[in-house]
Amino acid sequence: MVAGVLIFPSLFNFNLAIRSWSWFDPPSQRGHFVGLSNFSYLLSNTRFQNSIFVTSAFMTITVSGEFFLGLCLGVLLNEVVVGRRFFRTVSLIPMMIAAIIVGLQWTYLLSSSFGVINHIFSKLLMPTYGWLSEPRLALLSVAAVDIWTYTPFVALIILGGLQTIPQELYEVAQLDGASSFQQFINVTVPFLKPTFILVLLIRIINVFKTFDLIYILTGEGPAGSTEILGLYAYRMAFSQGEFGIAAAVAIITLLMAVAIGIFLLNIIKTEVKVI
Amino acid sequence: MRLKGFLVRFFLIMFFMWILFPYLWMLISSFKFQNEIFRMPPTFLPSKPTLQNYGQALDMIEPISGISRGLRNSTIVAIISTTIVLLLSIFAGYGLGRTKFFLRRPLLMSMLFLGTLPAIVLVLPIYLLMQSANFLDKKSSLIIVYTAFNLPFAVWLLSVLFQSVPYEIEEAGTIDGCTKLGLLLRIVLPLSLPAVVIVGVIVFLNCWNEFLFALILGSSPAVKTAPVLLSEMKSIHYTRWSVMTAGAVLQTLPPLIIVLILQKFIVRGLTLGAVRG
Repeated sequence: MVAGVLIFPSLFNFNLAIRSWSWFDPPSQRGHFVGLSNFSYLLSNTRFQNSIFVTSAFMTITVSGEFFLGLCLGVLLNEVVVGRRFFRTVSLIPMMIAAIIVGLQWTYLLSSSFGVINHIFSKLLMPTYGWLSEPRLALLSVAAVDIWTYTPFVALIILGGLQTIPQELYEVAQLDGASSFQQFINVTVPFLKPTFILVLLIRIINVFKTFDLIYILTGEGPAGSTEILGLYAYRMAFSQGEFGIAAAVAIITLLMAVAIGIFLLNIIKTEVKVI
Repeated sequence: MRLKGFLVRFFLIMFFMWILFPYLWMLISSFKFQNEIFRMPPTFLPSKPTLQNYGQALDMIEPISGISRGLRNSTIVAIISTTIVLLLSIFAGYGLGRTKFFLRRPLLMSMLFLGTLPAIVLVLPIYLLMQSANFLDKKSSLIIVYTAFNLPFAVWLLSVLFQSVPYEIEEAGTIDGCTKLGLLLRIVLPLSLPAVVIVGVIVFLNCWNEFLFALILGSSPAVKTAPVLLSEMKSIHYTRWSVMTAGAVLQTLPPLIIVLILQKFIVRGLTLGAVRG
């Protein structure tokens, strides 16, 4: 079953990627063997280059933002004992509700004409923006929503890691006269390295899975400024009917995800023996 | 020290508000009439609270425009998929977790890898295959896809969790004349029931919230799930925010209830799936 629905289509995808397959061809002409020309078409295509750029920018902003904020939050949470249960419940909410709903509620908040965010901005005498409709801002807004969704989850994982650090290590460090910042750098960070890499791995893989959120927030616009690879492949196939090219995009997406995954897993293997 | 504690609390409270506000705002808006939603400056509490939006979302006032069919489709698809996934993964997970044979580790690793495949990689071939098999626009095609997508994760997690059942108990069972199947059904399963429930819940939520495949594989109202119907309500020209917010609240009720009841276990399930490698 798994083989049938997951593995076979993956192979089928490779097959599709080296053929010319378009809705607009008559069925008998679909599926010519064209070698790697789908790939070479992509490499010279500005829309594809833009999509690669958007994906990298989205990845950089969201992963670093989520990691940094999540780390701060995790450390803060480690300080409080009361209310942790409550926090855990609240933190799970953004991730447990569908990305479609997250997208809808933020479309509403960020709306340029009746959104609350702009209302608050104008109350504070700041300029208002079309958060999702200005090409300069759209990617940032989308990334911000993604950060909103996943920061609490990152914080929870880091909190879990923090709680496994033996308290004695800090006592020893204190006896040696380490300041709390030094304790953080020399005790917490090395101890949490596996957790950090794990979090990064989960989040980076997720960037390549992101689809729903951007689909609902901006489509891919304005002017393609939020068209990440997943959306590009989707548009290529289901708006333009170019299944062969879309399959090539999917293959490139997969290869990028796998490459980054293997890279990070290798770091885990060499750096840490714990996992 | 007291200042520090105060600052920590302050930031955490700010954070809670930051997390909760978007959802609360949607909840509040779902009780407003459409014209109040568009009013600028926005009102915080609805001036004339109404349940009309919920009536519309559930198709009780004007038929077809709401999402009641979507909710029903989502429920059917998610429950059937979850049941199949659990049935298969309990046996597969037990087999992989307990028996020792040479393919065990490669199989487990491939389960982990398959779980990380981006859906977009599989969407095109699955669409074309379903099309050539005349399976488009049927609930069964969604069930097949959801089952396959969640199975690797479920098998992997359950095999890890089954390993934590002490082997001695099973040996005792064998001595008392229990078959392999009996060991699983009478000893291992009852002992790890909470784990099985968590896996089931996570799989259910994955199916309940899934969007991409639901969008592509189903195009008639008999198949469209709630997320797809909700996404269709947003259009460039006119978005029915009132009905949409109400529908969105309804769609998020099952996940919210599950989180409230099972929050502790869900965190464990989600991180266990990740931490043990």
